[in-house]
Amino acid sequence: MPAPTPIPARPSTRRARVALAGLGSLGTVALLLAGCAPYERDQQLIDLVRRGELGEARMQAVERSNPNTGDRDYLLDRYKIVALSLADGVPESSRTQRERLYDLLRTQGLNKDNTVGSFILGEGNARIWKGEPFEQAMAYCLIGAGDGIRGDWGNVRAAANNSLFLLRDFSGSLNGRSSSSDSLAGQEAVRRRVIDAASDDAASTGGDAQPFAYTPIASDFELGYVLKALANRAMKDTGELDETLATLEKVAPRLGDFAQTIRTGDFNCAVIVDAGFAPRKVRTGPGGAIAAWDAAFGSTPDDAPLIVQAFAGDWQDRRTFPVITDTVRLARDLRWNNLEDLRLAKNALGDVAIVGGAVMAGASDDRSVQLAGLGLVLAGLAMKSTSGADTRHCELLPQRTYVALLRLPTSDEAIGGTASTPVRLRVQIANRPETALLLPAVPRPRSGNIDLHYIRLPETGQPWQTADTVRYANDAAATSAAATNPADDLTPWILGGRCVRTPTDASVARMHAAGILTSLSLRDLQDLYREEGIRIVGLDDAGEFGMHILEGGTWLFTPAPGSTGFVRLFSQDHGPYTPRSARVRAIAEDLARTKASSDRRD
Amino acid sequence: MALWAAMLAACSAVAACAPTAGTTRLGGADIAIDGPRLRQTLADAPYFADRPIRPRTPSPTADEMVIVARELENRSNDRLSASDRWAPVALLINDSGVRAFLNDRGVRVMLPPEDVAQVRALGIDVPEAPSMAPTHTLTGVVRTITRQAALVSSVADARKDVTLVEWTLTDVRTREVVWSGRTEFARVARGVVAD
Repeated sequence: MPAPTPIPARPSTRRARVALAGLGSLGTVALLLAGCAPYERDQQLIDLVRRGELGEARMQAVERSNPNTGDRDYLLDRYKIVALSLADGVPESSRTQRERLYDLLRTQGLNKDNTVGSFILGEGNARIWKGEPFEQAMAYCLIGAGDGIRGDWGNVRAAANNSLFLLRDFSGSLNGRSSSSDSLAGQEAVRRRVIDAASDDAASTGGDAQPFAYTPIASDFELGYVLKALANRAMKDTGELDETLATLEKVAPRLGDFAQTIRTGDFNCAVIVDAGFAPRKVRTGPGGAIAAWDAAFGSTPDDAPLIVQAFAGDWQDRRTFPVITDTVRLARDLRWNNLEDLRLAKNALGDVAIVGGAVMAGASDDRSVQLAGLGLVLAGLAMKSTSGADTRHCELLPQRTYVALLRLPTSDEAIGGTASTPVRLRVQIANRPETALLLPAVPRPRSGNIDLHYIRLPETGQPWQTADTVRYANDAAATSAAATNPADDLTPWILGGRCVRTPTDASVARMHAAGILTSLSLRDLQDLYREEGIRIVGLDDAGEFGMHILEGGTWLFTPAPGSTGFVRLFSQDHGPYTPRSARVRAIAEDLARTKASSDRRD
Repeated sequence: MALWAAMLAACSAVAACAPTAGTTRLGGADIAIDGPRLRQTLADAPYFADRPIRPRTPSPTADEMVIVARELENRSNDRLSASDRWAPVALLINDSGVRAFLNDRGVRVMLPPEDVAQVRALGIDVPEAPSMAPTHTLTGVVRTITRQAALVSSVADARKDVTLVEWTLTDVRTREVVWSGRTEFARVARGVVAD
């Protein structure tokens, strides 16, 4: 019995299947291409930081962050939130995120179990982002700065210590050439030399050689040594201080004078000043498999010093400080880049070469070879997309960091007024007036203490940056320049005054002593804020909080007085408050009538 | 020296003990103070050996020994939260053996009044105590010794941190150290350190 003749599929059905298969393949490729696209810098966040709109920036960073701890960008999201809250002068608003960031930075082998993701997206693109070594080092210092603002020098020292991990020196593979290059082509060449040297080693030893030959060397991360030395100085650990400063002078001889200032201890205030933006991580080389850093998308490095002027009454001081750390230098140096990127690039370069050869075969006249070629073209596209280097990076990282060391009048010195006379600090990068920032109410350090402040310099010259005035009475400055009479500084802003202090027994007592709202108790005042939907940091927060009421938010707090956030919030007018509740509206109207009649009498 | 030897031995034994932790950062469960040993060192200290057993009276007396316990100073290689710095202090002063020993000698232990609210907010039990001028201070310094090794891969993939808490009891008036003790605990982690 003859075998039944197979019924041929109807041409239309067959075409449909082929079309479906083709679409499926293309769809898969499209998905892979989309999933593995180069990282897009968050330009909106960069612009907000550039303008000093750090409250808005930190809220956007929070909204865009993925709360899923397994997300591959989880750490990167946390990094941005922590950086922005510190810059906004409210490090405690991201306390939990900061602890999480630190925990994950300290966690080993984060990417050991992502096999499925690696299969689909390619190994590089499935990894949980932990940052390049220099990004990790900067993150540790950022965390340490948050601790330092609270005077927790033990934790500053620990964070700085963690930033000073060993680096990998590839001098052997580079035959004495520099591991750093200013140009993309130069960086690619450096990486290819190291990859080629590893390939040669593997070939000569039958593939059993270690992937890359390097020597562990001590870190040259200036900022880590500076923070550690400051902590040593604050904790009076002179033994470790000498050792740390000796290392700093060795890795950065240009900072010799700066190191000497720390050694002599002639300062009681340290100000960390971040400015500019780090370069962009890009794909170079065949298939975009090699990662390099393009400074054209960040800020241009230069040696311009930081000028800091301090004023208190008739006392003043002016000093200049050098750039401590330039992230462009770190980014361009292979020693500060991931070994993992090199390993993946080495594999990807091999894959791209294989697929390229196969695609050439696909150009044959033979139909079956052509079909195989089509599959390989698709595979090639997919592989090309997944072989591209992982270009995720923290675009909010500063281009440069300064540390200013100042000897300010202490709270028990009569220099420049009394203890309650705050110090004004003017900070600016030399020849860049758009970066000038005037901090109008920096508290005086207590005798024997070292205070730490953190500033992120805006760079668009907003009027508030140099307004040199406090427009609202707050927890750090009891009087405002905008008050038309003393009562304004004692009357809450939500009731028509200029006071955005945290309500306390003392603030209510001062209000009553001035004859303002004498029937209102502390509890009543707190209830008024609650009726308006306003929450008070320290009283109503669970560790994280949003924007200030002056900027349309629902939170009442005072940022650190030595921060950009403090200046933006209190050195400009925000207009009157519009009450939401009938009770607050009634009290505010009543106060306004009383004030108007009082003004008429006067 | 013995500690260093122990560290090296432990580092080489890391592969065999197959730890699961990915971090050596201290967690609450890691903190153990070995109360019986510390109680014994207190008993062996000449200062306490010479001090007669005299149960604490309900109300303070003029010659009473009053110890004020301070938050630990962090000189370790890791950031420590406030609760991490108070927990060992609370464990020490609340250890039943140590507490009984001090009670038997009429010693009161209290926290600085300015810190009580913060410590309670951390969830650490602080007994009510009258505010009295301290005669002694109990301080502690946390230090760590860190070692890294490449055991499985070509890069550092194992880390061990030995944490030491050095306790000191000082006479406020004479600045004499009347007792010192030490607590240590260790954590080991595996996985590529840079990753």
